[in-house]
Amino acid sequence: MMRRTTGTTEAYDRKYSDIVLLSRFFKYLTPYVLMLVGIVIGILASAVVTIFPPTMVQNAFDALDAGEGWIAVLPFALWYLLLSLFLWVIQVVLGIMVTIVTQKVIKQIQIETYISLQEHDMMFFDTNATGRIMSRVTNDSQELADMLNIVTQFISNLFMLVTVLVWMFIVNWRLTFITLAMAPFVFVVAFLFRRITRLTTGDWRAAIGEVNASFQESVSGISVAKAFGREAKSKEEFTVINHATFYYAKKRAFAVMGVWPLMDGISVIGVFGITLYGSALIFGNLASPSVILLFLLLLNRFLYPLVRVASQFSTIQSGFAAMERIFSIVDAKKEITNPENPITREIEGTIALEQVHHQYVPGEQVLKDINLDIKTGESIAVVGHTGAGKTTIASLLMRFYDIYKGSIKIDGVDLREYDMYNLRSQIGLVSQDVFLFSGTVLDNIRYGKLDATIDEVNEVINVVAAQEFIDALPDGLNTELGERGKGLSAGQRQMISFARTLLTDPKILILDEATAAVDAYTEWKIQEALDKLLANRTSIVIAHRLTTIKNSDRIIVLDQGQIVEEGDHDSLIEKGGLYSELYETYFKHQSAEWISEISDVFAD
Amino acid sequence: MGYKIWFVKHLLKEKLLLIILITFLVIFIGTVSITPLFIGDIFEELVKETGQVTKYLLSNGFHTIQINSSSFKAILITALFIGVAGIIRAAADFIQSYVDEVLAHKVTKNVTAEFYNDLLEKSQEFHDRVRIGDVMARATYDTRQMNIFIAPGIKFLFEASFTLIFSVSLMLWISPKLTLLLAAALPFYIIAIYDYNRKLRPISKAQMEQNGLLNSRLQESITGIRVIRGFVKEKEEINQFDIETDKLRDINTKRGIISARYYAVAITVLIIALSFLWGSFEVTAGNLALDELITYVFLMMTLMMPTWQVGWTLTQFQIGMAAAKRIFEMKEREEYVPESSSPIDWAGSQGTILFKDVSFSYNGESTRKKALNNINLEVPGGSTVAIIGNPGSGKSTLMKLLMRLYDPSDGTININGTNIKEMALSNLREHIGVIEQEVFLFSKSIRDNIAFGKPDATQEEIEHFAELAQAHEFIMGFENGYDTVVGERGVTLSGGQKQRIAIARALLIDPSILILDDASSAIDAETERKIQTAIANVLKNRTTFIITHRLATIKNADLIMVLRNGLLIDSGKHDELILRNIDYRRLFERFSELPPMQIKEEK
Ligand SMILES: Nc1ncnc2c1ncn2[C@@H]1O[C@H](COP(=O)(O)OP(=O)(O)OP(=O)(O)O)[C@@H](O)[C@H]1O
Ligand SMILES: Nc1ncnc2c1ncn2[C@@H]1O[C@H](COP(=O)(O)OP(=O)(O)OP(=O)(O)O)[C@@H](O)[C@H]1O
Ligand SMILES: [Mg+2]
Ligand SMILES: [Mg+2]
Repeated sequence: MMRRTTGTTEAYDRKYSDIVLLSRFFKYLTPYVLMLVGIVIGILASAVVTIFPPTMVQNAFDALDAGEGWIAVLPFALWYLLLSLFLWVIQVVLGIMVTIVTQKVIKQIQIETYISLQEHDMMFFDTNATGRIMSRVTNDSQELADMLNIVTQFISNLFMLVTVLVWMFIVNWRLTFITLAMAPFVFVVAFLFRRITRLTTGDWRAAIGEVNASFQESVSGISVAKAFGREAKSKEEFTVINHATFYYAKKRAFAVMGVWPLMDGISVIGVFGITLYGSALIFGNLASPSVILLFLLLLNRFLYPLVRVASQFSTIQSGFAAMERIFSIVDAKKEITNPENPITREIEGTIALEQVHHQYVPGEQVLKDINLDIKTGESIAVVGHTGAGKTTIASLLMRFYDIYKGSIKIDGVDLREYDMYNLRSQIGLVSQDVFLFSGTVLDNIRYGKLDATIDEVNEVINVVAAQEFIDALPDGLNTELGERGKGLSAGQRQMISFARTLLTDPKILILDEATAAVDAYTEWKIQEALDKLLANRTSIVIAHRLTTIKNSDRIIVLDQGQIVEEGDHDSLIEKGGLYSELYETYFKHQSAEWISEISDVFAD
Repeated sequence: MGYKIWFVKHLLKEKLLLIILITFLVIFIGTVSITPLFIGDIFEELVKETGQVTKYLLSNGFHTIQINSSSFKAILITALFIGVAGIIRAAADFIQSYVDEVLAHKVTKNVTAEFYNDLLEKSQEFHDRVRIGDVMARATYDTRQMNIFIAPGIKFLFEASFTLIFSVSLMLWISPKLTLLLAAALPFYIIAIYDYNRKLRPISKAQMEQNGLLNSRLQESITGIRVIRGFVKEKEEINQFDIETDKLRDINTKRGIISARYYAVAITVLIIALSFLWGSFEVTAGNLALDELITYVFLMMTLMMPTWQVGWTLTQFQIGMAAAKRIFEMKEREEYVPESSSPIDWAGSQGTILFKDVSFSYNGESTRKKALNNINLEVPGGSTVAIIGNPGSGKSTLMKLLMRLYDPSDGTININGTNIKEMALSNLREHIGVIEQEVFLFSKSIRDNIAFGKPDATQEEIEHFAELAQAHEFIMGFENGYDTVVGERGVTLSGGQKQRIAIARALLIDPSILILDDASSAIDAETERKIQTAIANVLKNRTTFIITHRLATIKNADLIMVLRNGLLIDSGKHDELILRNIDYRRLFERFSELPPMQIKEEK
């Protein structure tokens, strides 16, 4: 199959054969077999019934032509009415059944996509824009489910086609052949449009994803755009993307809208042929005039489905494109999965890193040969220049990423052998990037332990010294926060995020710059309270403010992904290496000497 | 202006497309409606000539027949007419369908752009309140619904009405009497449509809202994926999503059932049968020719399509309008930062700033405490000001007021003697560089991120400022250097790397006032010091605000503002404050030997 050259496909996009797509699609339908049987019966019934109303008209006409009065027509009219109404009822029931199944399928697809998202690697989210992912879950799933509607119509039209055809043969086989002569043209056109539709639809949907992503990012980053007065430029950029969607939409419309009229044009030839040849037959006494009337009536019911079948064939392609997009995201490769026999147990908290190497991007080593043993209950501090790999160690312990080489063991067992959910629930991480959910403050603190009592909540609030500001909020703990915790200051958010982790009472606690946004005094208060909490659990504290880590049992100094020093505060200072340098700088800041030094620079 | 007018205006903006659309629709409907007439003609001819065999020969693959020449000619001509009409019909159909689609996408494009532009103009308060997922639902799903209403909705609407007009006038021409039936049915149609509409409206609205909710949830769980993982809340999230999708499914199913039960179609069927019957009666009575009846019945049948189309269009109309309303409502919320009509230009290079009686509370009149209360201070141009205070004391808020992300509820802020409200927003902001407390990077290349405020910056400039921010080195460590594309919000960078890029980004615009809102919280002291030394030169003669928790930086400032819970409790130099301010002393207490307090601790 041809590869698209537009840059709008994702790394995880792939091609599926039609067979695979269809069989997967039908898998979604299997739970509704009964309904489907009902639908097929309905389709069959309406296909069969559909030929009778015109027959009634023909009979009535024959009767009138023979000079009989309107009384003779009465039964035909009644039948016409009854059959038509019956047809309508079938349509209603069919419509309802199709809706029910379609909606169930959409829901199923959405939830499955969502579940797959929950299982995807962190790397997936690092590299894919939220807007584009969302576009697949919401828009493409819709498109996919519309397929069901189209497929139903397709089948219905197909049946109708067959029944009408049979009936036409019975009535007059000669005319039927003439009618059939246009079928090949119809199918050639359908086949040509198939490919075009699929390609243009794919491009169009991808462009929509692009608009979504751009829109989404602009809105989330609005304060930056404002601060830099970049609105005009952002608008300009958006115009380009928005226009691209319009362009692809036009292209697609050309293809999709082109099929039907083209086939309609072909069908005209059919009408032409029937009329002509039919007249000839009548003159030749091979048919009665009413037959040609019937044929012209039936022709609508033959041509319409025929052309529909052919053009729907190309609409279905559009559904195929959507399917491909959904399945690609569901099937995107997951590296981090549970082992076959996952270990679930309460951990003690011993951590061992053995020759750990890590890289996010091939070739860019972030951690190099890290060896580290942490005993249960020990308190470890990790320091180092920015970008040294501290957060990476935390992420690896949480198994957000799998290490490239080496092994990380907890209680002597490799991380990858644990049930990762069970493991994560026993490790508490206060991450550097604070993320709160919309909802109340209480909801957020309780996030990791939904059944926590209010006393437990208050306890952790006290530990992080958040009581005062929470009390000052309009509704206290029940104050509603916006997305990402809007409505609190950054420091306040950090305190909530800290409390949230503490509440889960983890065996291993990792604090990644957990107090970076609070002032020194508040931090000191937090630390006092924390000391008790940390007493009997393993903790890893990452901090740039070296005052934060002075009390740790052991300090690990990372530099460019390697451990360069290890030891307690005093011994490291004595050693005079990187740590003492960092420490010096940090505290030298406060000396009179440095102030004059920097003032000199300012005075230049 | 209501949302309906707004929508119509958007439509009318595309006059050319509309004109083409309507022209070809008329041609299309015309040719469609005329065809039954031709069929009636042929029929007439056939009835007349049946059985009369003459010498005219027509050969084909099956056999040879002899036909009366004049009749055949008439039939041939009529058939040709049918053919030509058909081809015109097909061409017109293509043009009108295509143009309608183009129209729909054009309007969608314009609406999306308008919505986007509007959102960018909206005040920060507005953005604090909305949910991105919901905004996104409006920008994508809702615009798509409007799109579908236009194509094929509008086409259907026109088609239906033209078909009706054509068919009905032809029917009137053939037999005014029979057409009475249609008039009699009119009230039933109205009831059917009214009833349908009434049921549909609330459900369409509910559907849109639920869709917005679902989107918000989805968006939040993607952006918060790390927290979800960390706390192993996948199952709960899935359950929540399951509940929301269930709700949406129920609403959609209900809507589907309502539209399936649209019964106007049944009325049309009934009328066809009745007119057929009555027509036969008329034929028997000799008031109507048989071929006329045939034509009439054909015409009746063409009414099936419009009936169905009206139903479909109504459904989509409800949804399209609900969508238009949602977009319009969000767009129309008058939440812009008011701009001065005759703005005063930025004067002077340094920023001398005067805060006068500045008070502010978020969400206007709500029960919230004031975030800032009566701040008074003059900041001399070119000085370095450190702002300290407990979390939530209003440090960031004060800076946001300075940039006019919000306007103070009381008091004024002057820069170089000019009230900032009297300056053009863009003018004000281009002179202020800010490193936000929570750095937001775009998922673009590092180069584009640094050049964000000055897209035409040269590579040298970019590198120069990256070097000052101590970012050049690590950027060059990436395989793609400055072309490395960072993840959303900068997730693929370390905390300190993000901050350094933000510093370079702010420096590049060469601001008169620089705001560093906790800009080095994720940067180690050594790197921080390097940055400070490197940018000291750049900062010379510029007013710099530094919000920080690093004591050293604080000590070094020309002026220190001490905030506590929205109040400016003190300001001055380190040496003064350490002696008299308890809040200030507390920060240093643990780390150094402090001289004794000089004034009594205030309560
Ligand atoms: N998700 C990711 N994808 C690709 N590269 C990453 C990712 N996360 C981090 N990196 C890179 O790995 C390196 C180490 O980053 P890490 O976040 O571990 O640093 P850090 O020591 O925590 O720094 P800081 O003190 O600034 O937070 C950096 O060069 C960073 O760019
Ligand atoms: N968008 C908002 N909506 C409502 N209230 C807010 C909003 N942002 C901040 N607040 C409140 O206003 C007060 C001041 O917040 P601000 O962000 O200015 O504090 P800050 O001094 O910068 O604190 P931090 O040191 O934690 O960054 C806080 O009580 C906070 O809860
Ligand atoms: Mg980090
Ligand atoms: Mg702040």
